[in-house]
Amino acid sequence: MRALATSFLATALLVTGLVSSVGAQTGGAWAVYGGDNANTRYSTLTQINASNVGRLKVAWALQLGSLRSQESTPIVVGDLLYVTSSHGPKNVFAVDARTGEVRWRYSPEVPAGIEQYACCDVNNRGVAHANGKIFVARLDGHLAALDARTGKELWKSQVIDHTSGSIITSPPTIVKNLVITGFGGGEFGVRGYITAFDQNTGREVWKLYTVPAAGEPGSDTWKGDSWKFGGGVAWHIGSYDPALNLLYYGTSNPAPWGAAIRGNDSSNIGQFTNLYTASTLAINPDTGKLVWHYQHTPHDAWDYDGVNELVLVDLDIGGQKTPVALKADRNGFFYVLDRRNGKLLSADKFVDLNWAKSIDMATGRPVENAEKRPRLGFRAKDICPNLIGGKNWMPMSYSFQTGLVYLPTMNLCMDMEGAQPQYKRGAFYLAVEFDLGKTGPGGHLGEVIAWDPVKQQKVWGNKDELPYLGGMLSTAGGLVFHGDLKGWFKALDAKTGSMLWKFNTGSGVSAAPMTYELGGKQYLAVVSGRTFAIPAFFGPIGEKMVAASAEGGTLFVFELPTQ
Amino acid sequence: MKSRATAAVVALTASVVLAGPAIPAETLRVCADPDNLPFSRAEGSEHGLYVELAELVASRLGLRPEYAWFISNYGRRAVRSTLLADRCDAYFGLPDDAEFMGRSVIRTRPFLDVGYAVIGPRPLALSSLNDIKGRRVAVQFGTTPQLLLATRPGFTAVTFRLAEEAMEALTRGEADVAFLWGPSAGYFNKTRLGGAYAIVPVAGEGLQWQAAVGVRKGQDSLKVDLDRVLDQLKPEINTLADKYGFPLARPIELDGRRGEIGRSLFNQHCSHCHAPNAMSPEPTRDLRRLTLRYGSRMRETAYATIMGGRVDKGMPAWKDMLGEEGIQHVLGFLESVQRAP
Repeated sequence: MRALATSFLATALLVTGLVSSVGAQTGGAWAVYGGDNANTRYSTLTQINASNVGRLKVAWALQLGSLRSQESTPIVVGDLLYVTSSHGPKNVFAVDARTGEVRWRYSPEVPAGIEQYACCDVNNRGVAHANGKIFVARLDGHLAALDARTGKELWKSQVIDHTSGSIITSPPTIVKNLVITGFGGGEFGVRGYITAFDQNTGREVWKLYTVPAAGEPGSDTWKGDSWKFGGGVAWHIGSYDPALNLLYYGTSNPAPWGAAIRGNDSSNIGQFTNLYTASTLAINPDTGKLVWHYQHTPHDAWDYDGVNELVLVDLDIGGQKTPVALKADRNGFFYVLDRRNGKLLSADKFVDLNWAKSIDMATGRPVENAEKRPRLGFRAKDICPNLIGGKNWMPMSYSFQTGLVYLPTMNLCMDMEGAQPQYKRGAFYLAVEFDLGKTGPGGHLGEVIAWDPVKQQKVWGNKDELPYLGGMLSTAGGLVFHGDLKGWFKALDAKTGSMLWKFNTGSGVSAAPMTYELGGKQYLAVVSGRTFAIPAFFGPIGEKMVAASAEGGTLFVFELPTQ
Repeated sequence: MKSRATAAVVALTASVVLAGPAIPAETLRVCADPDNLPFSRAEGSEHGLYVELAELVASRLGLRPEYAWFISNYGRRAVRSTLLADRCDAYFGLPDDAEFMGRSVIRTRPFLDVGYAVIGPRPLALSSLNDIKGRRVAVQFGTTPQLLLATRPGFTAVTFRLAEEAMEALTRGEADVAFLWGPSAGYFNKTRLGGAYAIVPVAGEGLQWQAAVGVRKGQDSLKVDLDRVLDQLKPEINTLADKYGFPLARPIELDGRRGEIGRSLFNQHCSHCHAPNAMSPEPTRDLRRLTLRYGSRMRETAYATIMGGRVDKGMPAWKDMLGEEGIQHVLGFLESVQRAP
């Protein structure tokens, strides 16, 4: 057994030697949410591979102490595994990564009624680690630093007042001595920003507003004073390229939803593009200054957030090894950007969509289908994708072995228009109204696809009768892992997509899995617990989602049994 | 009522009993926002119009009021999480609009007119939206006035997150007028500014609404009870509205469109007795004097008269000829020509 493990290690090292400067340096550890700062979610480990994956068994499980909407990917540093539950997080656990024995638990006091401020459920996606500290971004708008060995809270800083409808759900990004976070929500009026804190003191080092103020470059892309509450929040995970010293974040939709307040409310956008919403931002992490931006959905009217994670890899583009950023946007286009300067290299539809015909390579802008843009007093029908997007937050994975991206896609459409009665806090007003529960072309609701990012084409796809498939992991063992709403956790052949193994976790899996090696043994971990709030948007489709499995909250860790 | 103020009301989401002196066995479970004056508030000396009204309603029905508090930042979610989750039975202050929450919620007859208003230093002359053109208008983020001003050329909105912030900006001279939800502005004006500002309710698409009590589908007998009692409580509702500073004047038709259709209908059907454009020289037939004559009952009196007629005085019933919508247009026109008291 030992000899076998050593040979696997050697293979792993060999593979590591081939990969890019930014990605796939996971080795045995998995020290950051996306596997590495490039968010590749690729592991070089090969002990678990296509020949033996069928024998995987549960090594141990951990009850997270909170039900519903688990979205966490654990991290492993040394011999400890750190994982969060939903709802606050209600719990952060540090456990022995071999046995699951709890070393410490951090259970912050969460303000009562916080779910009344959270737009899209009380989830948490995990923690970050640096220099002996664990960093937890919390629903209540605070960032906390914990001693990684004891769980003791070292400092806590406020990022945003959660009663403004802004909460934090994603782990922060680590860059040098900084810990950097955005926040989510902002339905009640907020101007997005990203803040960097000193890891040791919790003091704010810089703050970058994602919407320019009056007089700043880009402010003329907002009508009137609409920039003041223009949204553009960075609620998902960031990426970092140490060689270029650039930090990358995506930004959400502009606010409010009704585009008439922010601009022309028309496919003839003119100057009112609403920068820097629905965009990719490259930031100098030393100064907090914007270096470049690329806007995916100018003057958004569909709620196509641009927050999806940026995967940083080096691809052969036209014979040149090029540092790129890959993004499968909510708007349904798969973007390949030169991550040095934001130049668009290619963009193609990875799902059936109709709101735009294509992306104009000269301008980088979508060529819109005007009848699919909802406007004040105009109900646009059967817009694809719907506002949950061709892909939502559930992370994709890039395999250095196959050169393919594995991503969970959705196939839903919607009707949307500008003005219907709404009610909040005693007042009535006209708000955007929508019907989201429309099945896309083909009748399936979700599909796991393998995507060639160079050729911009699908290599294989596994259709699913339900949406909201889980995040992805790919490994040098020739495998892809992901979960689904029914609670199945599956291993696929990375080349063909054929299913090699599955395990029923008992509740829907949206969270992305991870893998690590400790004491010569490879483990595989995934958090189970069905999304709770999202089905409420989908009518009868939502009922199917709820029926698929009950709420849950369990971390499962798998291993190959010793023979 | 005094005992209510001393009741321990702490938890945001728990149902809290506000016990009265004699405690009936049966309860009326009321859904309400815990911190949303002038509409409702769990703690403090003022509990808001909806809570005070709920107390009166419960008392008339011989029930003990009990509250499920839930912040209504997301209105539909608040209704889903309280009323539709069977944590309470009566949601005071939902829009009387069938589109809102669909068929899962049924509504009483509306008990109060609520809407947006223009607020400014006295005297505030306002006959159309053009009167605030070119001026700095304080609005609240995400409200109909923000949308309205953004979609018309020549208007300058100054946007704030909260209505209170917009009112404060007005007092500091950072805006010339404000265009806000009337009850919020009225309450602020009354409690914080000593009523210094003029508040003129305005009508137009999405600007005037009616508040009703929402109950769950199937609770028809409760709805019937509530309708009966709300009808009896009309004078008390007016007193409460006044207490909390709700603007009660008839709204001014801002875009004039409804008035224009109404004028055309009026001139076709009514002018042979009441003169073109209602400019009758004969005082008894001069419909510009309706407000002078009937005060706050002007609209309901005129409505009843046009619908059913006054056959003994030679006024026919126009219900079948004009229909409900036509009559509303005519009323809109008549309101636009009323003489100042």
